[in-house]
Amino acid sequence: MAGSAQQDRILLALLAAGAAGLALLPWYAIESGFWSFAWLASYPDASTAPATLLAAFHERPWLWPLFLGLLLPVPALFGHRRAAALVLAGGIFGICYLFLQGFLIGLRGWSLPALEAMFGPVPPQDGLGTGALVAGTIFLLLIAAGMARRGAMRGDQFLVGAIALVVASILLFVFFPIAAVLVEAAIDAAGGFSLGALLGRLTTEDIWSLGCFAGQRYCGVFWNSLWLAVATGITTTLLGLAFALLHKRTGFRAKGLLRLLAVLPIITPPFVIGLGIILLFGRSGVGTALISDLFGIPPSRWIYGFSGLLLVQTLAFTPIAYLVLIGVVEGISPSMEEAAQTLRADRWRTFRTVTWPLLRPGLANAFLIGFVESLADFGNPLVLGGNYDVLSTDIFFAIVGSQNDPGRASALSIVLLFLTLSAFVLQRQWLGRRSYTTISGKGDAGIPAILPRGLRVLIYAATMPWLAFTVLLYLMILAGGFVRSLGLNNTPTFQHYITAFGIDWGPHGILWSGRAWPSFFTTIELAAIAAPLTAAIGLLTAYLLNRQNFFGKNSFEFLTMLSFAIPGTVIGISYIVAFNVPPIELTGTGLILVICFVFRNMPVSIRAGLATLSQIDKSLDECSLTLRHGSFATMRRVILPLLRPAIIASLVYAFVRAITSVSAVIFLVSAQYNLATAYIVGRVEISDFGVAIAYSSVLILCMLAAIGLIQLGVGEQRRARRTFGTPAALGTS
Amino acid sequence: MTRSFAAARLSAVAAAALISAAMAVTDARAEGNLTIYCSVQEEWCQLMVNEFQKATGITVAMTRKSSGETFAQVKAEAANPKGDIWWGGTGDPHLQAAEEGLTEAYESSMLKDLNDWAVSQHKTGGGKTVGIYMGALGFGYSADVLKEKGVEGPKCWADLTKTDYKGEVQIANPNSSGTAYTFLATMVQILGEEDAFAYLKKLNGNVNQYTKSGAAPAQAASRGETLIGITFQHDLVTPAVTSDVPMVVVSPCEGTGFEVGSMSIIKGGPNPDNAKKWYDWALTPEAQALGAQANSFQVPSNKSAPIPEAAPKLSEIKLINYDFAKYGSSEERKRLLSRWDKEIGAAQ
Amino acid sequence: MTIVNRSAAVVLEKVRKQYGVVMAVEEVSVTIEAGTLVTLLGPSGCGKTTTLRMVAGLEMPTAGRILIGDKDVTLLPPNERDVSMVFQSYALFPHMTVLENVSYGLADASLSKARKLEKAREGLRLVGLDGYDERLPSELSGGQQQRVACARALVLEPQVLLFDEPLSNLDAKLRRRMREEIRELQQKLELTSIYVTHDQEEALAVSDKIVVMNQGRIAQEGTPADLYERPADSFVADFIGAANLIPCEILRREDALAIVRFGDTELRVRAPRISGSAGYLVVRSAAVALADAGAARGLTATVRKATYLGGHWEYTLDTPFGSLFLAQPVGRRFEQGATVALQLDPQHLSVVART
Repeated sequence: MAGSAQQDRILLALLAAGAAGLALLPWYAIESGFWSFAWLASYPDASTAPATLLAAFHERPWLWPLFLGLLLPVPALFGHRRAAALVLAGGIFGICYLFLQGFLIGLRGWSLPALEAMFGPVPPQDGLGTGALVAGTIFLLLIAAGMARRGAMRGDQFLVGAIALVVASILLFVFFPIAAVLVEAAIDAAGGFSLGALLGRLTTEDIWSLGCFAGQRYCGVFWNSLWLAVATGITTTLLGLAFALLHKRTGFRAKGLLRLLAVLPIITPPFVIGLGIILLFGRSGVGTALISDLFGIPPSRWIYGFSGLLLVQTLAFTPIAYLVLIGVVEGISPSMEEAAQTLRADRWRTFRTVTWPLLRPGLANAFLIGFVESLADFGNPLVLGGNYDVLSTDIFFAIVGSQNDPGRASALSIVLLFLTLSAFVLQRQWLGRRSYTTISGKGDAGIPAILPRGLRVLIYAATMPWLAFTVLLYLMILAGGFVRSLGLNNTPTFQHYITAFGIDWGPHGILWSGRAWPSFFTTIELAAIAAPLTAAIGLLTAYLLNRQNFFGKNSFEFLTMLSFAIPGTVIGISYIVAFNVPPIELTGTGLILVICFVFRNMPVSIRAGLATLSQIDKSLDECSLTLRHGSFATMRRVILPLLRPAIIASLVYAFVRAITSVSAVIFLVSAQYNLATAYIVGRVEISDFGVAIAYSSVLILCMLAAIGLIQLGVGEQRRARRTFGTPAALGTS
Repeated sequence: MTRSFAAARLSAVAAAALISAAMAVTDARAEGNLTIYCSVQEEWCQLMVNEFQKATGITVAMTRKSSGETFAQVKAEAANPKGDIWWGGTGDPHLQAAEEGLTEAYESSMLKDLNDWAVSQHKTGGGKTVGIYMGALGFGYSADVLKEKGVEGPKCWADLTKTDYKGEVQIANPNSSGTAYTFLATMVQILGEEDAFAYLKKLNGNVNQYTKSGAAPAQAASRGETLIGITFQHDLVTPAVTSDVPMVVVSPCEGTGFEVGSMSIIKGGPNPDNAKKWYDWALTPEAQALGAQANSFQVPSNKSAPIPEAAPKLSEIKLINYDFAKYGSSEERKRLLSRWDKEIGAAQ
Repeated sequence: MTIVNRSAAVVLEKVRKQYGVVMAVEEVSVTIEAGTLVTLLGPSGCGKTTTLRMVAGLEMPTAGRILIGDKDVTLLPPNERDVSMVFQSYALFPHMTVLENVSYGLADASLSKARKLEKAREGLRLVGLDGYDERLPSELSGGQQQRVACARALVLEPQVLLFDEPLSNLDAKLRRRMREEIRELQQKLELTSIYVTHDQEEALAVSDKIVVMNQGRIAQEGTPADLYERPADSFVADFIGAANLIPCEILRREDALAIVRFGDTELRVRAPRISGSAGYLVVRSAAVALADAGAARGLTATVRKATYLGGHWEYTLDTPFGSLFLAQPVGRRFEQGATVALQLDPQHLSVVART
């Protein structure tokens, strides 16, 4: 069927843009960056020329066939009978050929010796650049246009295009890197591909040894990680439950404090709590000295290893369990407990027979979250691990240490991925079907049952010391920045702040002389770029998942959520493995950091979007469609304004997580693009705690200020007086 | 789109624009760029970069990573180098990089002004690397902590295996730290391989932690997290100076190995000419005096560079005849490390 | 300026909709004359809403054709069809004022902004909401929201106006008033309308024609009186006007009449389209008069339950042929347990097939 006038207009625009990508824009990546526009000076030489000129004058004739991808759809413009098929074929050919030539001809010419033997030598190719990006995107959109013409998504080009872009970007930036890791793990010392190498790496003693039961000091790193994760899961769940009950079912007054404590870990760089613990309980820590003086217990190194890690992870992740469980506790309808009481059950029996069973699925959920968080945690083991190796840090040292063994790092990544994905699948398959939520949407006039006295005492006994401890810890962290060396030399000083954030007046104005400034500016800049992108892609994905039906939607949803379960360390490794060489060469750029932020934090945007969208009546979009608005206009005028709470939540979360993340980006920082957390880790590694703490404190305050500002902005403008719930943003580090 | 969101987005964009404008101003100098991988203390790196920028007007981008990590990075990027010059860090990985052809040979006019050990490093590396400073291995402890423990201070490598120091010795893991590998190679050269591993096994009983970074034991010792830290002597001096800790730095009686901190030009880097400019500049007495200003107390390689007051005195150190060619080679390294992994690492 | 009538006829030809293996609409063919209001009536899950959404373009038929005013719109997206729809939830945009809501659909670029607003105000006046321009939907009552939704659909001057259970969120009193207003407006503007409801009383009140649907198929279509008095089958009989169905035997037919027997009783009743020998006698309250057992002839029954509802009595009776549920006028009261005589009026009885 020939396309409508609008379809033809869009096709023409796509073909024009594609032609520009091939004939005008630099085909290869520009070393100094496209946006510096320094390349315009030498345009068009061999390194800045577009594909046309490269093919014609720079010995790269294999770029010619790319035009075929744009030529094939042309007859569609003139009402060709098989327009849809032609457009589709052009797009598919274009994108396949683009990648094929990229992978076959690399930095050293042919990447397979056999091809060189067949066709003779060819000049090398750099990484794909702006022109290739534009052309690739256009090919993708041609595929979408072709499918729309065949009636996909009720013929809605915008929707098909959006799905194509989101799917392609997730494939490229989540699954291609993971696949690259899997392949890397199977590459043997000689550089060949061998299953033996893979099996060898996956079955090594280091990972699986149960030596700790046989008299050796430590077990394999798999078991270390597993023990720690299970223990952390249990402690965070129990404490989280205690806090949730404290909040909802006791007369505890300082609920604002609880909320603050719930936010703190989200804005705290992951290793900062570990630092605080060292200051407090290190062998020369303030707390240790006190205990030693009071009780005569000699200072020891107990915090370096399992016990310290358990303590610090419990501190770090209990708030997340609390956030999860508070919803569960709230979700238990008080009427149900009242019903139990009218049926002659006393408080204990009510708690035991009604409240507790209703809590159980939530507890399992909280446990799994704590479990995965612990596995993915990188910052704390880095600081406090001692000799207790866990997977996340072992992966790091396998690649950055002098071992430099990407194969081993990849194999360890596979093991870690296996653990987190198992937990994730378990959570979805097993818990997904057993939710005892009793929220009905109807008002519930019941009053929550008062907890039995013994339990109340227990809750206070568990939470109060913990609360005090957390507050003390954060005070300690703040204080640590203002003395020369906390515990050793408590002379007050601003030296650390001056070292990090000093500003001088030079002859030409402000001189940012502090050592932290470059990484600080880079961090803020990249986070500010990544946040809106994250929100946009995440919410678009949420919209597609919630509002549209298309082939493969379930697996699409599973894949997007799956990327949530991939630990940062694995992402970091996979990006290095996948994007270090052409055709897609991104290491050392700011772009790779932005991409990493976007795809790490996107699942939270998706969740926020899904939660908000599910509260927005679907008939609003349908109504808009019947009122002469297409799906794009509907999204812009109806969905987006109503999604505002989700947009804000996504922006805040993406911004904050971009600033605090460390596990993934530590592999990806470079000279030009160093990040705050990577810089701080560097300080911590050489025990320069003063500057590390000063910097962390500044980051925490910055983020608190940013969140405050954004919330202030939201509070003032509440035009629609109907309220939509803001979903709690949760995530793994 | 509602107003507040638009405003928030606008301000984010504005902030980003401001910041990039600020950066563009610093980038505007026309002398070109240089990317340096720096493997000494952050302060020193930064000071060097600042002074070089002042002296030449070249814009420098610097990444600080340990020598092992930098070697890994240079190797990983070999197909497509991002860095121009690798400055600092123990000499072995530099030699290894030279051996693997990752770095470029260069005959600087400054070579004649250098100490013998620095020139010898240049020769060993086939002209692809050069010595910029020297540091000797040793160990140190805080006099205060020692008093608390009520034990006697160790004087020799052999003392460290005494039961007095059970759980009190800290050293880096040779897999991740060049310092620790130098220690391993030193012991092999002093005791012979078999005795050396017997010694390490015994020492292992006293080690409380194998850190990832080479200098960390010095910091830990100064903070009292461990009694004894094994590392380079100059690294032990730094915390004594910066935190006013009464650190005792010991040069072991049996003699000790040393590192020749080195510098290499990365092969195929984007700014080869500027890399050479840095190379020449870094060997001048002025540039070599910067270390002390940044509390790094290594011995400079330029004969006329001033030697700082607090630095370990070369005259008091008994240096062994360290075979850099042999123990710097990747084969020997791999062999020793895998033996260490099997006999010491696995027994952790 | 007024709202112009551009009504057109709608034709559904063998329309089918399948979700995977689930058949939502098996086959629907129906013609809606221009200017009439046709109701799709049926229990939930019968496919009536799916059918309506296919006319709107919100669902694509698996097979069949949909024509609006002779134009085949089967594959057109909703925004390119000349229809507008009033949703069950009203679907008012909560972030827009009443006026913005009503003018939202006036996207035609040839219309000046002033004219759009004028037209929107005209729509609001038509539904009696002038002066509410700047209110937000959340500040309106349910009935007012309903009217805004209607105004918003009307101002587009669609060829077809679609109503998807528009009154189900209102209370009983308001529902009665609104359905009258909708009918009035529809008749005044002579709009082609398709109206989906599961409430038979509402359907009887507003429709020119009712299409009763069951399990994805049309069970019967006709005027309200047709359906009530001459149900095609037991489903329609039961669904419209809640009849008592008494199994009976069809002895023979005489023209449009049938002689049926149940128990010992033989009756001549209307049976326009029936064959076979097994049937149900459709007994509505209007066909029955109750009397004291001793006083009158007729079938006897026992009152199992009597409920006083102010305007009438509701009785549940035990009879030899099953239990009967009847409404009877007040004035005469039969106690629980009393024996009564049933007098049937064949004029108001009909028979449907029993399969």
